[in-house]
Amino acid sequence: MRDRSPDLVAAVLGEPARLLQLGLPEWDLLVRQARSADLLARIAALLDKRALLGRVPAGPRAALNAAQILASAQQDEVRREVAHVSNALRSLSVPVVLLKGAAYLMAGLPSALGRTFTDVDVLVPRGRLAEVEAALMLAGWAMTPHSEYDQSYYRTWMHELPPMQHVRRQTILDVHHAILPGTARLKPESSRLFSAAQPIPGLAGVHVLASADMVLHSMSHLFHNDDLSHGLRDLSDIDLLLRHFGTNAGFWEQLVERAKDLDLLRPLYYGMHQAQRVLRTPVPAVTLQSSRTFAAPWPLRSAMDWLWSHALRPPHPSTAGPLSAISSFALYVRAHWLRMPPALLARHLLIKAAARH
Amino acid sequence: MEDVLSREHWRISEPEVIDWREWSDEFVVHVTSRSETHLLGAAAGSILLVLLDSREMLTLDDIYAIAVGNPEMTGAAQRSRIPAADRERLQAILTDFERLGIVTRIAA
Amino acid sequence: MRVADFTQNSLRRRLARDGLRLRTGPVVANIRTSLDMVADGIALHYAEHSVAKESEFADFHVAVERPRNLRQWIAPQVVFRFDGLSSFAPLPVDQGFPTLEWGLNWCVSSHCHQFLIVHAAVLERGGHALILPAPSGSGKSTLCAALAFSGWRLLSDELALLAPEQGHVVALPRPISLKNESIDAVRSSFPAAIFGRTVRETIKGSVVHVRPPADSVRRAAQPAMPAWVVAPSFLPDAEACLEPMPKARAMMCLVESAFNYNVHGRVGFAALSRLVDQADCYRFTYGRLHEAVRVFERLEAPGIVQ
Repeated sequence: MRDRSPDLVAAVLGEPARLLQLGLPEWDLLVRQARSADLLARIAALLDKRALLGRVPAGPRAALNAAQILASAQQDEVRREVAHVSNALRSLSVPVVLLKGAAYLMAGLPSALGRTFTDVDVLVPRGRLAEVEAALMLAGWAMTPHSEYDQSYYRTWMHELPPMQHVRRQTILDVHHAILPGTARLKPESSRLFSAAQPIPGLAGVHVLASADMVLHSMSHLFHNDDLSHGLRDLSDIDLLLRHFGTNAGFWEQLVERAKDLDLLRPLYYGMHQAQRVLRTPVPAVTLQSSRTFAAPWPLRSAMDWLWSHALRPPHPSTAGPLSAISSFALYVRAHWLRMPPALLARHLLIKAAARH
Repeated sequence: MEDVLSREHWRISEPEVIDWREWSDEFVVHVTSRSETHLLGAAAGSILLVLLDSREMLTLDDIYAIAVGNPEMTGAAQRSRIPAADRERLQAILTDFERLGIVTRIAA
Repeated sequence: MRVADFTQNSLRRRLARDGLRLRTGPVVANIRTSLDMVADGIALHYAEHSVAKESEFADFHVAVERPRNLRQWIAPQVVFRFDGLSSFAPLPVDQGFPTLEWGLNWCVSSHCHQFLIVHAAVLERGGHALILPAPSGSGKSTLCAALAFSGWRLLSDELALLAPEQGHVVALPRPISLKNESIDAVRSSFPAAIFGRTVRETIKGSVVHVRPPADSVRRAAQPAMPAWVVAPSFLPDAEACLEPMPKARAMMCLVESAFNYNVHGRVGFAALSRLVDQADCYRFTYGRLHEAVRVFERLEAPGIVQ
């Protein structure tokens, strides 16, 4: 059995100074793992921030440089897209909340560092979804072709419209009305998110979530997601958000209180523990300790820890062990289980499996 | 109809992010806000330069006057002196620029 | 150490195990394959190329292998893998070496954003670079091969790597790919050219690769400043005709031929405008290779631009 290589990406994200000790073979492995995890540009940005890029050997430096150039172009594109969305929805006077990467970028947060983008995610009130969809279509966005089943799945059971694609720019926009689907067992209230949302200076009608909400959304998104190819990247976002907000007085207490309000204590537990374990996020010991009360009961908790330890590695052959496929599948099923009542889940998985053949 | 059109004003949308180069009366224009690059002929290129050089909003008539090098032309007398074909062509160029995100049209 | 310094067995072993770290211009690709046909193709086409040590950094880890599916027992196939991932459809096994070449092109054009990458052939003479941008089927590769065996140094037959700020082209000398009729045309006109196995019935028709001249490989570390941009088109039996191309058109031609122009934004626009400023730009029609080569022999470098 081939030995599994260490997760170098997590090691250097947790302790960037280690990058200076790497030999060329380790750089070779790190670049490959980071590329597979979509974290190459982030590593480049972290080094750039510390003015250390010049000390990277020429080979890996070229790869880091190329990744930064691409990420920078994608970030420019996101800025343009957000401006287009703002223009398209301005006349509706509807609150639009940016989510995830686009939010980090427009709010100038450290979690935008070296981030890559495939689409823009926004949250709008459920009651105004139809108007928003119409206004977007008027401005050139079209529904991406999906089977009728997928359309109904997205609209009814998920918390978003099917992805929209702009006909000329080819960019993708995901419009959500809640941060978790209505069928999910956890029920965070969207109206609370809207009332706490923060405007973005200079951009009419566009907001980002309040700090605690942003962190909780990122955690609930990761720990409910069925596609974990970006698991480590999402965890890195969480780590950077926690490091940034964590220095604000009272943040950790507010975070726990808010998680109670929004029914997101379980994802908070996973988020804090995995970030601390994998990326050495400085979570206060007292917060970690008390969070065990909202963890799963013991046997399930250790099974989940095991599953997550497999899933939160870079999706690269070097870090895969023989049980990775099992853990990925188990988490896929779990993610759907959290979203859909069991009978529906079985039906959904069957239909998706049939569609693949 | 003509009155309404002639009261419209035009200006460059975002002057700081339009890059252009000219070779032998043909222009290549890069519109950063759209990440698009276009080839313009001599006529369209010269209209672009008029708009880039100006700090104010301009009507179609103003643009024409500057483009033909006679900024003294003003008012109704001027409008009657712009050949219909030229007027149409200029309108078409400005409409194209609007579609490409190069200019913004401001209604009267 | 060069590829030619390996014995056939030791090369096959290296490729089948940890892989061969092949240096091609600025890119080191770690190539793994257990297919003899691919190994032999590498031995032939990359004989002069140097091999990096296993302890050195590789820009890409690629493999050309048999896919692990059931179909390949009926009709053997190969698949290109980028670091274990195969996003490409498997192809018949005799297309193994072309698969490697197409895969390596994909690696560079999708990742090497430190360059502005134009779909073009590039050759050099007297320190000046000739850029031939063109879509497939325009006769670019045929012309490129002819020039490469007529005293021009080959920098690349497919991928022009332009340094966006400094403006020079970086050499990436690799096998020249030829298709269909151009195969015989080059073979008959240039007996010095070393051909690999012709692969038939690919999606592009018949395909063969020609080993890059040894001199172009040895001088891969020398960049060149663009002096000419020439858009070629092949028309059977046409008389060779070189006519000036308006620079704005040449610029648009380069913009449309660039893989990653939008990634570079304003920097990309500036880089291509400077290139077009400094170079003489032409359209070129030709029907006979030797005549074409003579036209290029007479090309003079542009005057010094202040």
